[in-house]
Amino acid sequence: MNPSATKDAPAQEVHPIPRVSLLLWFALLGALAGVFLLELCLGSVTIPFGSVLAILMGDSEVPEGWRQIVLLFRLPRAVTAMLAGAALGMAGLMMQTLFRNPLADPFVLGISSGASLGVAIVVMAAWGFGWTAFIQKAGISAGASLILAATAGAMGILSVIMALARRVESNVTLLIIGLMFGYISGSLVTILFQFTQEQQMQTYITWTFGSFGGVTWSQMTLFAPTLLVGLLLAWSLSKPLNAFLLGEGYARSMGVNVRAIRLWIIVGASLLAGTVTAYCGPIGFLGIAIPHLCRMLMKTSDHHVLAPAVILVGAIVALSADLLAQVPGARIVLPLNAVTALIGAPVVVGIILRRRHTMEVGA
Amino acid sequence: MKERPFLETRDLVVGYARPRHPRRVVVDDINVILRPGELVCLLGPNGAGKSTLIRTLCGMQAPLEGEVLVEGEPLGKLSPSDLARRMSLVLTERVAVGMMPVATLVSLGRHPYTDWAGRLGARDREAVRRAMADVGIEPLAHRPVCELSDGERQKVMIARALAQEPGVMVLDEATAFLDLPRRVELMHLLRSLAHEGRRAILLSTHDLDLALRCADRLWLLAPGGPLVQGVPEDLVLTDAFARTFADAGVLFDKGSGAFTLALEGRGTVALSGNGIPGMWTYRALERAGYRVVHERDAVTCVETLEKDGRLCWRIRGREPVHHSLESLLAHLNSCGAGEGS
Repeated sequence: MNPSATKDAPAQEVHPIPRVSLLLWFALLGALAGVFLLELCLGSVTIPFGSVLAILMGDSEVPEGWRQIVLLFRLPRAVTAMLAGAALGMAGLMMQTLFRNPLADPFVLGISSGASLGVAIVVMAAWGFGWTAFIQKAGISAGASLILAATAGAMGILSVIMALARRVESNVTLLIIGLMFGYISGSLVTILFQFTQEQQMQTYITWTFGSFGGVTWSQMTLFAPTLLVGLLLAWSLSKPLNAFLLGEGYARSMGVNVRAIRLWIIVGASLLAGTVTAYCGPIGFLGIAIPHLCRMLMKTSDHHVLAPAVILVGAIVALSADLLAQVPGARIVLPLNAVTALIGAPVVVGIILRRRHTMEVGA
Repeated sequence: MKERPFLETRDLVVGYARPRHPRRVVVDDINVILRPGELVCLLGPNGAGKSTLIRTLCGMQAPLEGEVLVEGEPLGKLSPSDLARRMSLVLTERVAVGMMPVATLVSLGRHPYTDWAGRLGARDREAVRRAMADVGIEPLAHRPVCELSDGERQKVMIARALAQEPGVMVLDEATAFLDLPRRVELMHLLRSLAHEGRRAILLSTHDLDLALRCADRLWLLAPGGPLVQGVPEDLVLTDAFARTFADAGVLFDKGSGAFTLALEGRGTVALSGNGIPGMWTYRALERAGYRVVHERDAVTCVETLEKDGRLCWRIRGREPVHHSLESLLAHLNSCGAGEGS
């Protein structure tokens, strides 16, 4: 036996849930504040740190142009990135636990495919039936119509999945159904674009790049509360999620109402992933990577610890990715999805190679 | 004083019913009782319906007919968390929870007792500590589950099931993937948990020999039923044990209390010799397909001898002397001993 294990085993009370050091939490909060401020300072125009603080404090001495950039563009963008990162991380965590599969992401149930289909249909309709003229008359911006389309598509898939989840016994069956819906949506999108012109296709492709920059303050009034509700719902499911780590059989034997909880998990994850996709496009990779990063940092798969960690780390990672995508100091902006995968994938490979067991199924 | 049974079935019929399909009855007419302080092993060949029965008893599958009573109340009327306080489960599947300390995993057993946030009170922590002590895994408390061996993991799962403080623990082939010493260890652990904690423990297993030695009662399930129950030795003496496994190509030998392969007979030989050499010679002959009979009924008689302090064998009245059982068996086979006798 490992001598240190014997020494560590205390004669007094064993606390079953080890505490994560406060220092780590403060470090994460500090990192979050840091990247948040960087996001406000950096971009195509660099604004000095002091001026950004002054603008946030409501100081009117600062040049009006800078005020506009920070308050109307960078601040909503930073808030969107934080919320979206937290939401995708949380949705990914729930899906990985529900399906006990380290490769699951927020979109395994076909949420983003549904949203893509919705957007593709709207883009197509805009060209085919003069939809653009109609929505302009109705007073909806082009951006808002994409949001509506993505929401409708995601909700459509979600309602089918929910109806099936009530009847299907096994999670694996549900996973396969979700994947198949993804393929169906994908092929429908391809077929639709056989009848479209290049320009419409470009609108769609740009949407699939993903961006945190499209959410205005007025849209934020729906975006932020929806995600906050979703995050709270997900956090409150920590206890049954822990039981799900052992599999459905054990979860049921411990008194978890498996079907009801599964439905709540799907509702929560879909609300989070669907909302983010609708406003920011299908942002890949964050949802799969953030939970793994958190498990490595916190050295546990306990959801009571992982839920807050995922919110913090998700916000930090999404902000950092957005910073990189804007290539500070340069005039170009990279597609967000390119950055998340290009930078993130090697990081995850590194984690897996170093600590294989953190990736255990269900972990 | 008669104690109230923890688990009881009344005219239970288990099987599968699907819409638009004829229902498939696996076992019917099951009337069994599980009492406090009892370790019961459920035995039966593959496909007899052990898993179906276990799934029905713990509420994962609805019975086709009849009912299951848990501490006197019908299983179907208990809420999931009420049931979880009365019955806990250990399954075959190897759990993979990743980076989770043993103590945290055991504390998951407190699930039916904690509030919605899962906070552990003093009573919960005490139950977790006691469960780990009872199973003897206290030194592992802070080790991550992913670093444990299979045997240790299964002990952790048993501790988790104990932390649930149930009256009944059901283990579905929970020892299946462990090596023999680990299985013996777990069986003794379960026995003492049942006896000392006044719990009822039901274990479905393929370890016939171990079950015969350790279980207080056996439930025998032959393909197509019926379920026969009783004290192990009674079941052996009434041949119920032998009948349950009759079709499987093995024979249960009441004399030795062990299973033998039902091999083609090569004939009969007699054996002169005793003690440990005699016993192993007997087993070698039996394995090679010879029936060992009394000297007066056989033409060929094998003798064990000791020459210059070394063990050797000889066929009576014939040369040579064999220095290993391998050489003896080869000789017997080549000269067609036992035939026509």
